[in-house]
Order: sequence, then structure tokens, then C-alpha cells
Amino acid sequence: MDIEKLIEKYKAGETTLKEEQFLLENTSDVDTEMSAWFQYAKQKRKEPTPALKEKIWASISKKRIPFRIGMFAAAASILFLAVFFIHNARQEKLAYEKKEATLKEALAMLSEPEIIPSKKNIIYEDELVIIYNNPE
Amino acid sequence: MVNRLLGNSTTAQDATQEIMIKLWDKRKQIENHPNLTGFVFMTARNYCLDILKRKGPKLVSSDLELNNLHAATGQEEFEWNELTSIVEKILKQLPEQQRDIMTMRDIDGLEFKEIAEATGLKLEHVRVLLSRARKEVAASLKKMEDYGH
Repeated sequence: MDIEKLIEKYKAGETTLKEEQFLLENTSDVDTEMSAWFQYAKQKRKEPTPALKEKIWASISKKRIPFRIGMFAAAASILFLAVFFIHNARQEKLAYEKKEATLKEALAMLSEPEIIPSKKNIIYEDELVIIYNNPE
Repeated sequence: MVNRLLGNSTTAQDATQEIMIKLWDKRKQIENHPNLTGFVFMTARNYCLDILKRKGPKLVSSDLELNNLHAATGQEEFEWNELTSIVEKILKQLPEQQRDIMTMRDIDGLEFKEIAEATGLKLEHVRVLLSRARKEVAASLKKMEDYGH
């Protein structure tokens, strides 16, 4: 690769990252005005340590745990409320059934009321009109 | 890039962690972003600039040079510190946008579309500014060499 041409291309902002990497690594012995810059850029380039990636994931996971705890707490609250309402409704139903049974028991203790036929004296009767009197 | 902007490995690691958590929280909103990597770099850059704003001004160049001289122990280290001082002085003379673009490309190794997203500029404009910056750095370095620093 012609280094001088590549440097011109570099100065014009037309090189790829790969070509720029090549320049950083292969121009230490080349006499060019950009040598100092290439040396500086090469030294300043830093790759993140693998430990950083792990550290970041660990902190993200930590952040997710309280969120999960929150979700579980919300689900537990809903479940508790649901159980509470179902239990209450069942209690109400049982109380109603108990009341009904007591009422039936009370009614059973009473004698059937005797239906006394009314004493009506029919004076006149046809298809349309009935005339009667009641001695009571 | 975070390390370069913040200049401290521990701070940079903490900042990277914060940035990634911010992005994780927004994952539903950004999953269909057309340039996700660019968006990540933009978020990271803005976060670092916020930190730097809160921290206040950095050391001035003379202090930096002095620090470098104090820190130098061997010949090689002394030469490296001298080179760093020269290059950083030249970088400081560049317009801010050009300096940012040149460092993002040559030190952080970002693609043009990532730089465009991070800076909010058009891709072609990024190329033009990068070319200007590189030519300016080349000219300054040549001038220094001609004058023997």
C-alpha cells in the first residue's frame, strides 16, 4: 500500500477505519508530518476492559431486581384483595342462608292459617254482573 | 470516548455504567432507532459534557505541561509527554467542532454516521470538518518541525 497516497486520502477524510488503523500501526518509521499525531492517537486509543462489561451488566441486573420485587408485591396485593373479597362474599352468602333457614324454622312452628270462605249472599248474577251482599 | 473526555479511568467507568443504565431504562423507546450506535455515542458524549460542565474548568495548558514534566521519569516517558503537550496544544487551537470530530474519529474510532449522530451534523459536513481538522493539524505539526519546535 502506498503510504503517501493513503496519507493524502486520510487528510481528505476519505479513508476507512481499517485504512486509518493501518496508518496508525505502520507509520512510526515513515517521515511524515502526521507521524506525531498517529503516535498520539495510537497511544490514546483505549479498549474497555472486559471487567467493565461485567460491571455494567451487574448494575443493570441489580436495577432489575427491585423492579421484579415491585411486580411481585403488586401481584401479591391484588391476590390478597381478591381472596379478601371472595371470602367476604362467601360469608355474606352463608349469613343469608342461615337467616333463610331460621325464617323457615319459625314459619314451620306456626299453624297454617285457616281460610274461611266468605259468606256472600248472591242476590243477582248474570254473565256480566254479580250483585251480592256480605253479612259481615 | 468517555475515558478520553473525562480523563480518569475510574470516573469513566462509573460514567459508562450510568450511561448504560440510562440507555437500558430507555430500551423500549430506542429499540427501533435508525442509528442506535450513534445514539449511544450521542448520549455518552452529552453525559460527559454535563459532568465536565458541573466540574468546572480543566487545567490550563501550562499546568498540564508542568504536570507532564513532573511526572516524567525516563527519557521515553519525557519524549512522550513532550509529544502529548505539542499535539494537545495544536488540538486546542482547532475550532471545537473540528477538534471533537477528529478525536472521535482517530482516537475513539467511530464511523462517520456515528459521529454525525453524536454531533447532530450531516455526514458530508462531518467529512468536510474532519478533512479541515486533519489538514490543520498536519500544517501545524509541519510548522513545528520546521522551527524545531
